[in-house]
Amino acid sequence: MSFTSLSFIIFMAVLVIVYYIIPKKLQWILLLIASCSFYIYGGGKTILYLLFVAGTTYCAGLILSKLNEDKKANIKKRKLVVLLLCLINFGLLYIVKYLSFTAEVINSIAKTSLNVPNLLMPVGISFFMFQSVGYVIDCYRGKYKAERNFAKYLLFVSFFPQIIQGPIGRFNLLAPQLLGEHKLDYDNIKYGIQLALWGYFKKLVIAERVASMVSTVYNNYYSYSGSVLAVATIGYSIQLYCDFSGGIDITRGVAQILSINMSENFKRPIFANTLTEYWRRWHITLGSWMRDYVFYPMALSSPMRKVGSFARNHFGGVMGKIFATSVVTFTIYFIIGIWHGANFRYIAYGFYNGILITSGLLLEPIFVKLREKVNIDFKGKLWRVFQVIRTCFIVFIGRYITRAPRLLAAFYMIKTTFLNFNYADIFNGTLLNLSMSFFDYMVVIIGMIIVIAVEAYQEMGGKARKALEKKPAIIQFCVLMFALITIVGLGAMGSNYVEAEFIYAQF
Amino acid sequence: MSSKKWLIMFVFCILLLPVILMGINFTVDPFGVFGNLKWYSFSETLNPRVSKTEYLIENADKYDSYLVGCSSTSSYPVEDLNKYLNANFYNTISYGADMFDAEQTVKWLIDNCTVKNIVLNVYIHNGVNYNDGEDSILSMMHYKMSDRSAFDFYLKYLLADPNYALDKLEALKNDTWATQTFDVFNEETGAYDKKIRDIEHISDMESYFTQYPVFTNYPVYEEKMKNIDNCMKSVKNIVEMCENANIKLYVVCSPIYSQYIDCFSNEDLTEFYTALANTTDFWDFSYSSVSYEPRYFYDETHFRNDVGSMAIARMFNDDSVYIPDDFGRYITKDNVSSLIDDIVNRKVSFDVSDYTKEVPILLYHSITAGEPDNSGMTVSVKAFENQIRTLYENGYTAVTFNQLYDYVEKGIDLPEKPVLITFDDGYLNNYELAFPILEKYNMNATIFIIGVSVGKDTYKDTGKPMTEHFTMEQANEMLNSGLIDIQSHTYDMHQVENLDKAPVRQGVLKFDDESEADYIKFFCEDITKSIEQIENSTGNKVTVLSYPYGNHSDLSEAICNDILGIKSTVTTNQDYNTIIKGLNQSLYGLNRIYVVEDSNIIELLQSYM
Amino acid sequence: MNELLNLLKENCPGVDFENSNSLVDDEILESLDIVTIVSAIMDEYNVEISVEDLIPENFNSVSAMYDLITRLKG
Repeated sequence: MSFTSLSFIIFMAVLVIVYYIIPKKLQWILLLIASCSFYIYGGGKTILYLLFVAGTTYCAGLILSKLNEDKKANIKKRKLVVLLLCLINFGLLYIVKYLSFTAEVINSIAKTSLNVPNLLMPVGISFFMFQSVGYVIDCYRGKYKAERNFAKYLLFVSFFPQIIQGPIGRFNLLAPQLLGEHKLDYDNIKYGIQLALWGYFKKLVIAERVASMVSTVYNNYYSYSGSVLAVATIGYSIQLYCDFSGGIDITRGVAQILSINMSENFKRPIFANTLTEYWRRWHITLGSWMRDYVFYPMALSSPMRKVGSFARNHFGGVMGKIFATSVVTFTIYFIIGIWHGANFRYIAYGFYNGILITSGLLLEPIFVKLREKVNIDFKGKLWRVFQVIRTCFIVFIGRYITRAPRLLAAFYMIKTTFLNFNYADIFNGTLLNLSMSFFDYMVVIIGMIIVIAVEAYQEMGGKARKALEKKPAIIQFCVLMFALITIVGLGAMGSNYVEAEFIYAQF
Repeated sequence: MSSKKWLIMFVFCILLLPVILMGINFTVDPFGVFGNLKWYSFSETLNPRVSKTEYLIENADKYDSYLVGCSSTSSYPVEDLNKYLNANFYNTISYGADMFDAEQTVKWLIDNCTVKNIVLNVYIHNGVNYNDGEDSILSMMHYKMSDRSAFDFYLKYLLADPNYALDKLEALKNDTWATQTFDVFNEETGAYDKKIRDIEHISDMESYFTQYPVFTNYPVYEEKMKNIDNCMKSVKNIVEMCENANIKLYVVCSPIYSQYIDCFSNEDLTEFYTALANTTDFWDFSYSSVSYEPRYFYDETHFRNDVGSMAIARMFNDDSVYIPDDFGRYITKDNVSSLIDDIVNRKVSFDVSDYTKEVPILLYHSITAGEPDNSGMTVSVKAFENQIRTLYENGYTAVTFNQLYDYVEKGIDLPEKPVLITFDDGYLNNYELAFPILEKYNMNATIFIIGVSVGKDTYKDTGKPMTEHFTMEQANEMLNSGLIDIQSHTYDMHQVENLDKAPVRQGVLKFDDESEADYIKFFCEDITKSIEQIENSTGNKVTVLSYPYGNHSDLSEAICNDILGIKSTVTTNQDYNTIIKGLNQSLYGLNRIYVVEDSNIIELLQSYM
Repeated sequence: MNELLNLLKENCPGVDFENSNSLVDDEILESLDIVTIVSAIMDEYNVEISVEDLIPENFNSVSAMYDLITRLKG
């Protein structure tokens, strides 16, 4: 059941009404039933994977909590439990997500013909797995006690708004809300609806509109000049951002209607100054998951500290620390790349980000010296604008890598963009032959202006929904009507619209 | 505003949305069911079943006879039927109609209109599909023709996607005389509006395949005729309804492209035709030499209008029209076995050279007594005589456009080595120098004159000198010889930069900044003036237009054919022409071969063969 | 305290440690800085900071870090 389907809207309407009518003690049970039905409706039997992940992590959590009570003795046992748990779960993830890729690679290198049965990919497996593994590691660290009631824990793993695309939640933040009692709060419902509408706007009106243009160009990338490829890649950046962040807004909106606050996953990445900052603003929950469960342990592990002191002895003080961090950073982006998908493109994408960020770290001392010599106001607005544009550009280049059909195609496309730009193609009507009309381009451009304007307002500390609340009723009415008509007219309706059967025409 | 109030407003707005939607659909009415903003050719394009019913409810008194069937039925021109039956036909065709649709349509027509004749097309594909229960707003039937409730029907159109309404508004803005994808029907006849399609130049097979690649690689897949029984039940009902209502019913089986027949098994074909013959007598056009000529088809399942004309001429026994000998026969229970024998065993014999002819058209401009200039437009009288004599000695016969018409329309064969000699512009030297030579060798030629230049030797606006043109008297004299044909090279659309005043019409194309309506008006007025000039002062009928500079477009061709009654147009594309019997389109956009001073005429002709 | 402050300044130049009590929450310090600081402290004070200690509350201000060190030492 897609968030954008009519059946989801009806599902939500029924759920909200029942949710606030039934005794508050039963609310979490209703959520659990709703979540499981939602998952079964969309993924059928693949719910077994979800139950498996929930089951193993639930047990591991219990065992760890038990061991934690006896602090000193069991450190090795605890480690063993976490290790086993990770092996089982990431092994499963590997089998469903990466096995066929591995087989392909082996086949192409060793000229064998290994065959991997095509497994059904469970919806959102990467998300709920990371979420549950995070829970186990927190139990290991003794951050909180394990949940004893499996049903309650299952709700944490399967909560339906986040199951498809996150955000990756933390047990200590999410579980109390999921299991708590919520009384009807009009504010929450209103804000939730508004946030969801905003998400629908980004997803349906903008993202789905550019999608066909992007695939038209990327499927035939060799027949277009650099400028068209650049437009398509900008389109893809827009599509990706609006689709993902729009989806998250719907998720958070829906959760808020149920009086549950979920972590933010995007913090206006368009305004990031540096690539590192971009990654702190993009897909935040994945980033912080990586930080807490991979980066810190790795950076503080004894092998890494040895690397650090080795570097310090050979390259000097500051450099030594930076070197160690760089190795870890590089690894993290490598993992993030693989996390996105089983393909060389994503590995290359991880490399691309890793190299840029680590080289930034390694070259930092040189930049510092350079900056002292050049007479530029590094605190001024112009410098900030330059940084934002530079970051957008770096991200933009990265998008080629993730969207191209093959890795080599991505290199070819980047090359073409720079060496054969041919900007005349932007104005000579080529763009109108890419399954997007002039009207569609206008909708996307105006839509993006609205998105960026709202985000700029938020960036300066404004609260959009609160600000709207203070406006006169007539303005609120107009905004709402405009949003609904735009979403329904330019978004939802548009995708179901069948053009008349002109194939038969004129014979 | 409190959050509670906001939520009430939210619910109100949600409820308001369908109301707005209904309002838009009601007032713009893209499907033409509410009677607002009427535009039948648009709404018929969206859903021909519903919109044609609406049209007939309003206009039934204009018609007394109807064509019923799937989209290939559109290719039987109502004009021809009207002529033979002295009736007013309306074509009720809709996309992919099956016999269930046909039966419902006939039932409704009999109950609601006066009906004298019905022509029912039973296409081979009607044995495959039957009453698929189409529920989409694009293909469902009018509630008056089906058992759908009126409430459900109107609700569906009230809640239709608003994009259809927006499409209609946009189409209204872009509507022009020429057929566009959003208005493919002709409101008056109910048939497809083919004014652009039916002027596409058709010539040799090779270029036809390039134009219509579908014929080179036709996918043969299996079509199972699962619904022969249902189909015939409906045919039977239609036959009975017509008998009871005293309506003359003509059942026809449309021509099938040979490769499409291969999609059907012999058992199915036998069963289909046997069952049909047992139900009713019918005119069969499905299988003949026509099935093997792709140029008689738009695509694999739709035959051309000109083929429809031949079929109708056969039904009404019109000897004056060309019809391939084996095309069309009246089938009854008694002779259906011969049809089945032919079709199952693919018994057919024909020779493409019996109905196609390669005809080169030569293009001259000015003839000079002295040395030719180096424009390439002038040939010395000596070289000209040499070229004409060579043609004569090599057995070429110069033919006229009228002979081409007779070939296409009546099937009267052309001489073995035909050639058409043409002169553009109408220079005095054509009369003084070329005419005597043509007379000497008894060769026909056609001269295309520019109306405004007749008898002139200066440009009308600038007064600058130009090569002198002959007068109408001289034209008359040449016409009277019986050798020379005088036709149009436009009245004043052959202008020259710097010699005519701006805006300069270098050929008949539309200016970029000109509206289509203005252009059509201008073009028609110009050609009409040219036609009147020639016809009034010589009595010679104008049927050919030579495009100045060869510039032409689909639009100009369509205007010539549809409005101006021009039967043939010539361009300056250098090539041979293949003229095809029964296909008027092969006379449009004819190619011509430039002849220059040092042309070796025989080698020149052979180089294009 | 001052010793710690100097150490911090040396490792993270450009950060105003004195005037903030929400270094992590306001994203003045990011994960890379934290790792740098932590390894410096571990080397300098000879304490073991484990991953569990890497929570914002422990790094939001100089005094918080100081408290952490004393706690670990004790």
